[in-house]
Amino acid sequence: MKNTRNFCIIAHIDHGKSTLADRLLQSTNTISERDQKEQVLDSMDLERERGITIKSHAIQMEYHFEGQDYVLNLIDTPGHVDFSYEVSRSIAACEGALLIVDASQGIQAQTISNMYLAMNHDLEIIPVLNKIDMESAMPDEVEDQIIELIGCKREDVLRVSAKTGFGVDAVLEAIIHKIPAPKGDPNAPLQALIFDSVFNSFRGIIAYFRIMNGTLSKGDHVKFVATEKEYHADEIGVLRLKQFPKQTMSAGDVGYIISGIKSSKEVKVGDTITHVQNASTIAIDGFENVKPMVFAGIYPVDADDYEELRSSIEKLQLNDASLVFEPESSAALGFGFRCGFLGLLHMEIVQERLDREFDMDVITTVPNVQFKAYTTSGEMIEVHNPSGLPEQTKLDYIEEPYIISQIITKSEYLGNIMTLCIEKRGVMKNQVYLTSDRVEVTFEMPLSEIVFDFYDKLKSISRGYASFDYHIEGYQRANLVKLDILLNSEAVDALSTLIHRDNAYSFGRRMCEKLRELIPRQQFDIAIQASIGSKIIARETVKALRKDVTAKCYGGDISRKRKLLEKQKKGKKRMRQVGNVEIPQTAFLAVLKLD
Amino acid sequence: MFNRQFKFIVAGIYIHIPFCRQKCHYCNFFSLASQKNLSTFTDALLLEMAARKDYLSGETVKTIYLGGGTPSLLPVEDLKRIAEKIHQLFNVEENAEVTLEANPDDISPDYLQQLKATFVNRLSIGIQSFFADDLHYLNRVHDENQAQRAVKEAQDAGFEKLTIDLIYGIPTLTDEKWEKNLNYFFETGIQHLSAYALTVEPRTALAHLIGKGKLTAVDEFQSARQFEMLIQRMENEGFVHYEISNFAHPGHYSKHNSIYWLGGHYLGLGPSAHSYNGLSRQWNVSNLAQYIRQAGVEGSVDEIEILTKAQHYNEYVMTSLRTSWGCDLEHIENVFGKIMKAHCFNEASKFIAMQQLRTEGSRLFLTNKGKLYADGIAASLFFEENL
Ligand SMILES: Nc1nc2c(ncn2[C@@H]2O[C@H](COP(=O)(O)OP(=O)(O)OP(=O)(O)O)[C@@H](O)[C@H]2O)c(=O)[nH]1
Ligand code: SF4
Ligand SMILES: [Mg+2]
Repeated sequence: MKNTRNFCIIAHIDHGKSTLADRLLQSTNTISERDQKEQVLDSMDLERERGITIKSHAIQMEYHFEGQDYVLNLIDTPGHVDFSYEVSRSIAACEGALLIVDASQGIQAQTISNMYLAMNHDLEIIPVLNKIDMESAMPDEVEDQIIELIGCKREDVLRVSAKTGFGVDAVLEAIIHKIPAPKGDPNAPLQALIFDSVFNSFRGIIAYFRIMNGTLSKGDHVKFVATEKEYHADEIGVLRLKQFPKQTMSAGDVGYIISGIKSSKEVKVGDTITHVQNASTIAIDGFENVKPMVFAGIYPVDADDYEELRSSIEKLQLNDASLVFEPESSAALGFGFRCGFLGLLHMEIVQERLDREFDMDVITTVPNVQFKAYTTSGEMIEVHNPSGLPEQTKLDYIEEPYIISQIITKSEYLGNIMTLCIEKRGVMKNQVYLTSDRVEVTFEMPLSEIVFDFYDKLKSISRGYASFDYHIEGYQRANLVKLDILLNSEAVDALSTLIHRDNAYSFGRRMCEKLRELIPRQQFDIAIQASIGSKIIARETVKALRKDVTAKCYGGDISRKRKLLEKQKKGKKRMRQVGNVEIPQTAFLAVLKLD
Repeated sequence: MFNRQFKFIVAGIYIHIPFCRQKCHYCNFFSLASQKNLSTFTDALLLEMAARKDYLSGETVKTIYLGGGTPSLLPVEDLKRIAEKIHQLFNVEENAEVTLEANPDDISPDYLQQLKATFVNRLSIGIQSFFADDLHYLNRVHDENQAQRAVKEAQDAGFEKLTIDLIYGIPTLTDEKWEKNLNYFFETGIQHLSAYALTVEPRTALAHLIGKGKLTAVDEFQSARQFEMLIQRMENEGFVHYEISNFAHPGHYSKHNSIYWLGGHYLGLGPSAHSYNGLSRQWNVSNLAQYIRQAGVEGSVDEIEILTKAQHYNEYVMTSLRTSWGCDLEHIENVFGKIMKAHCFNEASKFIAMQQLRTEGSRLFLTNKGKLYADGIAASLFFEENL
């Protein structure tokens, strides 16, 4: 155990965590030359295409150093704010963290938030100044920022290029010298923390654990404390590039267990594994359940696929415990599911995975945050969907979630950013100059205001320099109205939104304009209206299609035209009908495309 | 495999002559404004003919169509060589319909006299409009006088089978002018008319110029209105609207074009030409230099498409609905089966209710109102492969 080191790599998005992991894997010969590729731990297609890490990845390395053999368990974490819960879980399995800072970008919002997560768990933090090979690197300046932030000594900051490999040996040395070996008693009753789980279609659920105390052997009769389920440890082992089975593992070790678990509900990340006999009486402090931030309806394009969609979402959930869902129905869309996501990126990824991994065509509706509606009788109802709002006459008031957001920016963009935040109903709470030209501002804002286009706007007004982190603060009373969209006088429930009264008019107008672009012309005029209650606040018309016929249909035209019409037919089949109006899928997400 | 009404099955040959004097703005055909390969083209064409002589499996060729491009640019000598070779290689029916597309600017009494001496027995004249400003908008070579004269000279030369092309929906073409164009046509006494809505195809000069604001955009409402005028006027004059864009007095239908709509077989020769023998569709390369290089080998074919049952059905629905023969549910049942027939009728019922389709016996026909929406209706009746 004294030669084991458990650590994670944490940073703001894109600061080079996965690339540094590549170098560590290379230096320790964990990965052969042949298997080497960039960000090798980003194994999902989606991660590779988008160049970001979505899920934490654990891997074990062996390293011979100063005459001794060490086992190094590394966990690479995602940097995007949507996935910060992945970071907090990984941290619970480690004694140390490499805090990476991009030398050209400096300290950013998630540098700080992730560092605090690590500090709160008493992790040893090793600051790494990365990308020093870059021309735009400002190593001295960023080094000052790091020293200021974590209060370390100048010589503690390691200068590295994960790209060229410069300084990687020093990182390995620091891991061994500075990160404490895991503590724990191999002879005590078993206590192992489940920090992640993945689904494998051949092997079922595979849980990743970190043994805090005790020893676990293959075949042992074990119990999951929170779920109270019992299993046999069919296979245990460590996580190399592939799973590597072991007979016995003990305190301080990180590994996986396969025990014939079929349903994701049986595995709760944060749960404790112990033995059935000689059980540990103490469960490890797990983590809070992740709370979804935004909700949206997901409906099968083909209504017959409802059951298949359910089983697809369930399977996705096996790999993604943060995804929650419940059945719902809509007059416009039929039967589907209300899903809760960590953020818009998460929502996008779920939708994309449904498409790729399960070949499910889905319609996603406008996302919204979770509201609390108070009725006149004093009851509180959690509302995940505008149509779930109690009747106007029974509604006393609504509360909406607020966040505290930290924005770090170059001071020259501060003015623009303040304007943006205030526009989004933000109230400034604090302002701290990190250095002479870098400032951290804290705003209190309604979550619903940042769900849509806040992040993109922030990036564009700061030329990409500002970074942003947030956490939920609580609920506050809000002056919200329900905005409905009518097509030829029929309300389309899936297009309703809850919105602040002050924004309702401009929002309604933009919605109508956008829908006019998205709804194809049909044989009759289509009136698009936005209304609050019975009051129409905006109107657009999609003009009737006067003519839809090809002039020439000879020889080669036939095949060309047939293909075109076949495509049209396909599109038609995917449309939803409200009254006599056909609505394409894209229209249900119109709100995300408002400019 | 999925042959249409067997009694209609006839075979034809299409020959694409890819040369023009200048490019019309709306043109999306494969044709070149340069005539530099004109002399070697016919050699290549004859080679291709020999190489693909078995495509029609010896079926009797009842129609030959020289289209383009501008076939009237081809020297009459070349026409004769083509005729000779076709008769040598194919089983051509005695009184086969042989159409040549001619542009008014190429037509002269002298040329027509020479033409008379070839196998050509039907002329299709690309008039488009009898008004200068319309011709100018379209960037046609000829002027309004040539348009008038060409028709007369063709009739004087003794071409009995004649047809002209007109275009409506041109922004410069007012409704009054459209009436006049139709009147001119009626005055000629010609028994066949092809009338096309001006269509802005992507990647054409027209699309570009409209995009740049240099030409007035085409107005869908004008186009629809003029289509309705056309249908009405032609009906009044006793013409049969036998295909969306084609009208004729009984007995004067274009045999060749009917092949396309009735599922007949045809061999397409020349660059970009398209062939169909009941099983596969094929395209020749749309590149003259490449065509000339490859014509002797089967390599002139660029792309082959083998149709599935659903695709055959879709083509049948799409083309038959456009014709006065209609879409025959009984035929669908016989060839494609009960499921497809039920599907077709099911989808059709909505349009029957909207009076855009009507039934007569086992057949579905577009009503005059339905003719405006022929594409959307056809798409609705389509069958999706993976159903
Ligand atoms: N020049 C240079 N580029 C680097 C270095 N380290 C990483 N990069 C590049 O920075 C980009 C982001 O690297 P990643 O390793 O994917 O960053 P990450 O922190 O894992 O990103 P997320 O997991 O999405 O938060 C990639 O294009 C890398 O090639 C470095 O030392 N020098
Ligand atoms: S004459 Fe016909 S082929 Fe030639 S450019 Fe004009 S439209 Fe195109
Ligand atoms: Mg990464």
